[in-house]
Amino acid sequence: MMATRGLMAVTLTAVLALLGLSTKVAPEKVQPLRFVLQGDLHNFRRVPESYLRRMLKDAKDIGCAFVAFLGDIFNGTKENPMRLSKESPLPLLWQKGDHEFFRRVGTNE
Amino acid sequence: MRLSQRHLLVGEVPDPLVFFRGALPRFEALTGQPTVWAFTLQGVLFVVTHNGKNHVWHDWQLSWLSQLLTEHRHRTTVLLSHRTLDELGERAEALRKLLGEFPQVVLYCDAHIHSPHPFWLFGNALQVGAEGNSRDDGKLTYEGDWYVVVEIAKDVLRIFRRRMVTGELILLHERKTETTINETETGKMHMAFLMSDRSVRFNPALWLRGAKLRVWGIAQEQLLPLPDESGMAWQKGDGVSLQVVASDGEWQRLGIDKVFQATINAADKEATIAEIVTPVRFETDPTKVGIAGTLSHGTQVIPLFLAKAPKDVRLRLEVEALRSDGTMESRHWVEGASDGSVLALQAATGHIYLGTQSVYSQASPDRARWWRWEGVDGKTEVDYRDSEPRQATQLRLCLKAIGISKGAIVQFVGFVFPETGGFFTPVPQGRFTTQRTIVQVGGRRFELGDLETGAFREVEIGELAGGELFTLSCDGSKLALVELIGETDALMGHLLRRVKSVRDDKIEWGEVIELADGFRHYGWDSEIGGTSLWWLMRGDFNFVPLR
Repeated sequence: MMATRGLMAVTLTAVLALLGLSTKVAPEKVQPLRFVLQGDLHNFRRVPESYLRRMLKDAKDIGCAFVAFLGDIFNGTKENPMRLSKESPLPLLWQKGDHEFFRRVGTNE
Repeated sequence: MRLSQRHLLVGEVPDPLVFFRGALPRFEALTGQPTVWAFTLQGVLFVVTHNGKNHVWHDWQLSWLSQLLTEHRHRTTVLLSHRTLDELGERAEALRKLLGEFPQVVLYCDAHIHSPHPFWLFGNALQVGAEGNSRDDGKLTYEGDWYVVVEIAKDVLRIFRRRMVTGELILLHERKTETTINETETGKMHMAFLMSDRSVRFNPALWLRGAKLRVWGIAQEQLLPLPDESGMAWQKGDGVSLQVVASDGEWQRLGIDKVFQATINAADKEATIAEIVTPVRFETDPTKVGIAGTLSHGTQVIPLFLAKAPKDVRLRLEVEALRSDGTMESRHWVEGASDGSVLALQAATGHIYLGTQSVYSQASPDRARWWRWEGVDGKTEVDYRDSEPRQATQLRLCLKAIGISKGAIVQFVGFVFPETGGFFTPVPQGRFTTQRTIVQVGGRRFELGDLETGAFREVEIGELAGGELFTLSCDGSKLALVELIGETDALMGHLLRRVKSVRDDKIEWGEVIELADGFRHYGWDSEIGGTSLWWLMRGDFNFVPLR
């Protein structure tokens, strides 16, 4: 379908050019790509899980393609924020940060 | 710290021996993702980078990134990062210089500082943080129920504040620029795994088409002589005899063939086993060190001693930093109780400059001489608001045994790694790159020879099923960056599975990969014991639990 539309646009442009006329063909509409940034969850100690769950649903509702969690996922408690993947309505992308190089999941070491 | 021996494949990073054992770092095990990777989505290239504490823009990543951006020179690109682009220090400066060569990088997204920062423009890259450029009515995202949305359209980038309560989408920043967004170019993957000799990884792409295997050389540097190099550099303790012996199976599983063996001839509860002095250099220019660190030596060195003593003996690694006039600058130690098997004692000596963390700000007078001296493992730090950089030119390393008896035997090996990325491998004294490289993937064996750091070789491998295992064996640095390149419809995450076939969106699943036992053992089963599946073109996101 898109290829056909593109061909029609090119053909129209070519015909107009042959007739000595010029025109501007409107570019095809491409939906913008949206995504969310969030980071420094620190085992939900800094960024609460309840907020994140609402954020994921809201981001889905406004057409975001994914959420990028930009590091420091872990720190401090036994919680594991990656469990958000189990029920997330949209893709989650996990970036490592300083705390991902510390000793253990679920501690401040 | 005690050597983790609980699971062969997973390492509790920073278990310093994770790469000695040919195991998989924890974060990669949890996510199922490569060390660094990139994917196209609607004509835009997204790059997921590797950075964090003492892992800031090492040369192997910049080489990989340079090649990636060269191959996607005409594609709008977004870098996803933890650390910020404006950090002071040579490493961050090297990244900024690199990005200056690639104007297709239009966005650099970061977190780390827990606060808003301005939308700075480096070259053509707009730096956008997870907390936006300002608080909303004085509140951070999670305090005020808002979050940052990035929008890439055909001819404009927009940054929004999304208020969840009111449903408002408030424009924070708009920048007119042509982008390559389109509806068709999705699913091109570059997945690079930093691997050590004898290690295993798994393909997270559901089904990789037109696949290439590209293997990069990685350097490793180590400052101490191993037992088969020079025993003379080591000074044995009083009442101790020292010899070099062939190692047993436990050592050999760590890639170590020979060890020092100390016999305690006279002991009274505490014995010095051996000590050694090694030269070091710390950069004193705050703009070169910064918070990001120096390009080569100058920021941090990491002593790592492995020792095996009778059960309940306490082993201690003492680290003294000495100035050129012989005075002691600092002294710290790490200690562990032996259970009769190999024990790892890891320390760190270094510094970073905290007077200012950003190239956009200048240190206030009361912070101008603020250096953080690092010790033990890099997390045990001492901040001096009015201090000097480290000046030490030597480290004296001493291994002691406490509670040891006459006649007891202690075996040990010592390493010192300058800041080469934290991927420790059992290499001799010197600097090495990847040698005699062999990768086995999809039942095929590829010999890729010797690879200089920053250089690569590649081979076509056709199609590669999801969850397919691949292995690396190599000598020299005992490290390589193994990259899978190709196209896929979907990407797996967390606990990966083998894929038998994919027809449209019908998947015939095979067995879950060998990490399943590790997930159960580490208690990750209840949290994320399953496979996430991201259909890139459709945007669907599913989770397939293991049980």
